[in-house]
Amino acid sequence: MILFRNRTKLYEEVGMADVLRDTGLYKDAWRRLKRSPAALVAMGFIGFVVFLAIFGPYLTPHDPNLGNLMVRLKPPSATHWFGTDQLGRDVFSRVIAGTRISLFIGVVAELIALTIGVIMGTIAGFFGGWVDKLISRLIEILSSFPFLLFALAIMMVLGPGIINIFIAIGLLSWTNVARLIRGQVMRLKTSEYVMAARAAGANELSIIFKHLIPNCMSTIIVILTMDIPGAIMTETFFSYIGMGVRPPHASWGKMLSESRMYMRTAPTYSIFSGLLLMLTVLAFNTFGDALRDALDPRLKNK
Amino acid sequence: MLKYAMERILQSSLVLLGVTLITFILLNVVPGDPVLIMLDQRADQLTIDRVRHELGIDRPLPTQYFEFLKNAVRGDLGTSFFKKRPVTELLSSAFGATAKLGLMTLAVSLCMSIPMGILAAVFRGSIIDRAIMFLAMLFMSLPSLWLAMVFQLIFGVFLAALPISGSETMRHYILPVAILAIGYAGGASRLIRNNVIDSLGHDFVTTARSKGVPEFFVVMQHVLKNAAIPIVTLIGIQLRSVLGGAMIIETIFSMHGLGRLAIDAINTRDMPLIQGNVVYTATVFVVINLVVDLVYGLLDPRVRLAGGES
Amino acid sequence: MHENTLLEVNNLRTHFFLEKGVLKAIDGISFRVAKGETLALVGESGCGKSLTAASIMGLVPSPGKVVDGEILLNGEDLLQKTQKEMRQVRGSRITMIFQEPMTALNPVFTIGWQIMEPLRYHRKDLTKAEAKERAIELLDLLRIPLPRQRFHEYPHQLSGGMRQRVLIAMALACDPDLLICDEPTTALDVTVQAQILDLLLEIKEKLGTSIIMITHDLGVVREIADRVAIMYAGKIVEENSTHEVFNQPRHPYTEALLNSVPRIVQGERQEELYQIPGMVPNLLKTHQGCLFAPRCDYAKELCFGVTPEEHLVLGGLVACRRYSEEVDLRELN
Repeated sequence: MILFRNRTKLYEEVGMADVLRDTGLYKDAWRRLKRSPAALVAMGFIGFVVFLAIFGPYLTPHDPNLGNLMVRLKPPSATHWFGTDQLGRDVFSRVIAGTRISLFIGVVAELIALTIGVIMGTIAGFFGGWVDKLISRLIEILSSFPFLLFALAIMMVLGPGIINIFIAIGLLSWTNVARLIRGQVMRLKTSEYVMAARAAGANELSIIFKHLIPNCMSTIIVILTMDIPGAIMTETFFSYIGMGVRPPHASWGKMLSESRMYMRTAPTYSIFSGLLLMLTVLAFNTFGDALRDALDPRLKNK
Repeated sequence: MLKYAMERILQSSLVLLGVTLITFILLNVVPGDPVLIMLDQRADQLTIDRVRHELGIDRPLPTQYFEFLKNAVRGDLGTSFFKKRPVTELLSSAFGATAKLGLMTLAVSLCMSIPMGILAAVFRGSIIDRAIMFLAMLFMSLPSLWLAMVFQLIFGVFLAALPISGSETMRHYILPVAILAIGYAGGASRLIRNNVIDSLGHDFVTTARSKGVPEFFVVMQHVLKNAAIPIVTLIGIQLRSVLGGAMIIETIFSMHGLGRLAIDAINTRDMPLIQGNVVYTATVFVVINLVVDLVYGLLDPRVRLAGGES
Repeated sequence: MHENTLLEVNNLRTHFFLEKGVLKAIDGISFRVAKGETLALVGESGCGKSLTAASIMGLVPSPGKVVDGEILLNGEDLLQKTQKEMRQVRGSRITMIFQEPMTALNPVFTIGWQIMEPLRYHRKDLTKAEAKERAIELLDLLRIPLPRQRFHEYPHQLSGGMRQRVLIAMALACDPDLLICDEPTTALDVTVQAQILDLLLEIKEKLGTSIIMITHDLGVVREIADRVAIMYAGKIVEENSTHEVFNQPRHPYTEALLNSVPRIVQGERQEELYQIPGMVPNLLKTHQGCLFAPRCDYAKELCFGVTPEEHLVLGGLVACRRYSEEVDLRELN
C-alpha cells in the first residue's frame, strides 16, 4: 500500500514538474520575444500574410483568374493597383490569390515533413539499436540526393499538382527534423525525470507522449518557422519550370515565371509577387531566429 | 585515422548502394511502366514494345537493377533516349560548367561570410553586429529566382554590362555567381558568427589572453582553428547545395550545366538521363561528404587520433 | 613601499555596470604579496576572489571595469599601463593557471605548441629550437614522464592532473615573478590534488616565485600559504599569517568558515557541522554598516550602522568593530 502511494505521488510530481516547466518556459519565451522589435514586426507581417491567405477571396477587387485582353500588361493605375498581366488579369488580385496557394503549400508541405520527421526521429532516438541504425542510414541516403533534382524526378513520375508537391517536399525534407529530434530524444531519454518516470512504472508510450515530445516542442516550433520559407521557395521553383500549380491558378512562383517574359515591357509586373515573396521569407526567417533565441536562451547567452 | 577513413569509405559505398536502389525504384517501379511516362499516351503498342526492349526493361526488375549497377560501376549509365548519346558523356560535359559555378560561388561566398561572421562575433551586440546580421538575414531571404530576374534586368538590359545567357566565357559567370553567393553568404556568416562566439567563450581563450597573446592572434589562431571544424562542414553543405541548387540559376541563365541538363531531361522525359543525373549528382555529394569527414578528422585531433568511433 | 614587496594592491574597486545597476563586485581591497611569498585569497564563490585575479591581469570581462585603486608590481602601476604594455606583463611577469584543466587548454594545438606560445611573444631572443628545449625542460621540471613524446601530444590524450601540470609549465615558461592560481585543484581527484600542491611548493622553493592562491578549500590554504586574506562580499575582512588565521581567527566570518569545515578526529564523531546562517548580500544594493552583520553571531546594533574600519591586530588586519578595543589595549601596553 505504501509502495503504491509513493509511486502515484512520485508520478504526480514528475508530471507536475513537467507542467510547471512548460508554462514557465513559454511565458519566459514570450517575455524575451517581446523585447525584440524586429521579431514583433516580423510576427505582425506573418499575421498580415496569413490574414491575406485566409480572407483573400473577399479582398480581391477583381476576379484573379478572369482576364480582359483589352488591358494587357498595363502599369499600376487606380483600377488595377499593381497593373495587369499578359492576359489582362488584375495583378493585385492575383498576388492576393497567390498568397493563399503559396502559403498553404509552404505550411502543409512543412507540416508533412515535420510529422514524418518527428515520428522517425523519436523512434530512432528512443528505441536505439537496429531501428536507429536503419533510420539513420535512410536519413543519410535521402540527404545524399540532390534535393531539387530528386523532387523534380518525383514530380515527373507523379505528375504536376499541389498534392504531388506536398508528397515530393514532404518525402524529402523530413530528414533534418528527424536528425534533430533523434538527438534531442536520445539526450532526454537519459535525463533524470524520464528515469524517474520509468522507475515509477510509466510505460514507454506515455514516456514518449508525456515527456519526450512535449520537451521537443520548442525545437519543433522553431524548425517549422524556419523551414516554411524553404518550402515556399521550392514551390516557386516548381511553378517556374511548369511543375507546380496548374493554370489559371496563381501562386507567387507562377506569377514570377509568367512575368519573366515581360520584364522589359512591364517591369512592375514581376516586382510585387517577388517583393511579397521576399518579405514573407524575411519575416519567417527573422521570426524563427528570434523564436529560437527566446525558446533556448542558452544558445543566445553563449 | 586509417581506421576512421576506412569506416567512412565503407559507409559511403553503402549509402551509394542505397541511392541507386531508391532511384531505381522511383523511376522504374513506382510508375509501373516508365515507358508510358516517356512516350505519353499517343504511342502505339508496337513502339512501346520496341522502346521497352531498347531500354532493356522487358526483363525482370532485379536483373535490370543488377545490370544497371554493374554498368554504373564501369562508368556506363546507359544511353540518353532523346539525345542518343551516352549519359556519362553528356553528364561529364555538363559537369564542368556546374563545378565552375559551384566552386566560384563557394569561394566568393566564403570571402564574404568569413569576415562578416568574425566581425559580427568579435563586436557581438554592437551596432556592427546588428547591421551585419540584418544584412545576412536579408541575403538569406532574397529568392534567387527573383534576384536573377532583377539582376538580368538591371545589368543585362538597362546597363547592358554583362551577358545574361550562356556559359561560354568567364563574364557569363559573374551574375550567376553573384546571385548564388549572396544567398549562401547570408546563412554562412550567421553560422560562422555563432561558431566564433562559441569558441570565444571557451576557457582556452582566457588562457591564451593570460599568456599575453595579442587579441588578433587569439581570434585568428585559437578561436578560428576551433571554429574551422564546423566551417568545413558548412563548406561541404554549401558545395552540395550549390551543385544541387544551381539548377534554378542554370535554367534562368541558360548555362550548359548539370542542372539545366536535368531539367531538359525531365521536360523530354528522358528516363536514362534522369536516372543517370540523379545517381551521378548523388555520387558527387557522397564524395564531398566523404572528403569533408576526412578533413574534419585531420583538423580535429580528437577524431584523428581516436581511431574508430565517429 | 617595502623593499621586499612584489605586488601591492591599494584600494582596488572593480564594478560591473549592469542594466539593473552597478554591482560592486570588488569594493576597496588592499593587500601585499612579498617576494617568494604565497598569499591565499579565500572566500565563498561570488565574493570577488577570481575577479581580483582578473583585475591584476587586466582581463576584467565587460561590462566590468576597474574604477579605482592601484596595482603596483615592483612599484609600477599596472592600471596605468596601455593594453599593449599589459600584454607584455601578462604571460611573462604575471601568469595564471585555471580551475578547469580539461577546458583551459586548446584542444586543437599540441601541448608543446601551447607551452612555446608565451615564449614566442615574450622571449623573441629564443630560436625555435631553443624554445622547444625550454618547453621540454619545463615538462621535465613538472615531472611529466616522457617529455619529448608528450611535447607532440594533444590535450585530450592527457589526464586531468597531467593537463594541470602542462598549464603550470606554460605559466612558468617565462620565469614569472607572480603566479596566480585560480582554484587549481578543485576539479581534480584528491590524490592528484596533493601531487599538484607538492609541485607548487617545490616550484616556490626552487624558483622563488610568488604565488596568489585563490581557493575556497581551507585544506589547500593550510598546506601551501604563508599568508591568508579572507574575502567576503567584495571586501577583505581579515588578513594575517596562515598560522594566526587558523589558530586564532579574529573575524566572525573567518571563525564561521573554519567551523564549517569537517574535522577528522580519531575515535570521535564530530557533532553537526556549523552552518553560516543567512545569505550572501546582494551587491547590487547599497548596504550600510558591516556586510556580514546580518549573518554574524556577534552583531550589535552598531554593526548595522557603521562600516567597520580595518584594525591592526597581531600580525595582520581585521575589519571588525570588535577589534577597535584590542588595538587600544595593545597601544596601552
